[in-house]
Amino acid sequence: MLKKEQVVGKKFLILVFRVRALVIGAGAVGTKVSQQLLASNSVDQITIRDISPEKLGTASKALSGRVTVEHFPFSQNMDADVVVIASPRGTQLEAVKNSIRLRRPTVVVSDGLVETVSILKLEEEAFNFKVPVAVGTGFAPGLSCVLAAYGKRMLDEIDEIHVSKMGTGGPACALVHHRALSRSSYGWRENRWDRRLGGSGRELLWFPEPVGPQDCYNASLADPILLHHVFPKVSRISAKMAATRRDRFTAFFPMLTPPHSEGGVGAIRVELRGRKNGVQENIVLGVAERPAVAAASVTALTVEFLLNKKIKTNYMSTLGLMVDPSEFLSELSKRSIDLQIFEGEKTTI
Amino acid sequence: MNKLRRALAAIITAAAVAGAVRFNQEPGVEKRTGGWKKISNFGI
Repeated sequence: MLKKEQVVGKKFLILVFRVRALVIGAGAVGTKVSQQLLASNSVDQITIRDISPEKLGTASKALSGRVTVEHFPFSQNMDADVVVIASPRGTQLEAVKNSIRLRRPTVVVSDGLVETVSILKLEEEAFNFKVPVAVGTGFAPGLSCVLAAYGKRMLDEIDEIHVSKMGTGGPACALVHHRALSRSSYGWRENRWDRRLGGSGRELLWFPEPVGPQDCYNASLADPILLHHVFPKVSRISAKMAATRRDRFTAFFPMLTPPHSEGGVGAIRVELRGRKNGVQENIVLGVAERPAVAAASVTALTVEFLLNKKIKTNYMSTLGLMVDPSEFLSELSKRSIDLQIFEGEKTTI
Repeated sequence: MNKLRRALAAIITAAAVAGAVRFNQEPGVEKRTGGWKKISNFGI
């Protein structure tokens, strides 16, 4: 549904299509998505919307022309060709509901477990309205799903997928991660959801440099839900996040100090256990990057895939099903997001 | 008596500091089993 502007020349009638994007949320990810969409020239005009004047002020300084800044409620008046939802936890569900009703192709960064589950329940509605909705287009979930889909091609059969992440993007992301350690973690284990205590199950995992080895714990993360959506036959799916003992101890309290405007370098690691040529094989893929930068790159690229009709599904789905992982990761590597593979002894670390 | 008190206070302080430092310490890493390698060819 592109807006047509008619320009009448001397003899010819030229139709100019202007692609407009609405970015909801002017935080660390929303601002960077807008910057990347402008840099790649994928859209002609961007409206960035937030309810916080401070965030809009910071965003407007970072963005140049072709951007309209809007101080407006998140889920109202979505007049655009594509809607990017990068607003804080608790505001995304309402925005997705409205964008589906208005039949706007939507990209949801999605971070919190409960909200992601609620968004996925709108699958039928999106299917009926024939609206493509990409759920989970951040660092993890998001890039983690694409890495799992890419790793699947290296194996004949997958039995287990284990995702781990380290680091946070903006303050909203930091708050979700802070709470994740004090809430129940859900993983898929032998055909049922396995509930574990957040902050339990310590495991030492190696992330790509410069992050290196980190202690990781069970946490309330959305990755297993989205990965189960992509790989329903895989018997074990889990997600852990890196934390210190202080993080685990303070997770039960409100955040005592305000989070940084943007976290430092983080990483994700996706381990697939399965078989190749009848032999047990482990594939470990990872990315080290600032989480807000990586999330913005993945989201902006998803928008481009959506606008260029490169997506495989025309309803609500996750990135692992929507895009061709090789093509997506290849494009992402051109934007300085480097995918790495762990090569070592073929034993579980 | 004062010397004994001071010695006891020093021991308690040292134990508290050592405990706090150890609380923040993460388990040591013995050795790596491999390394990370950048993927540049995605088979397209």
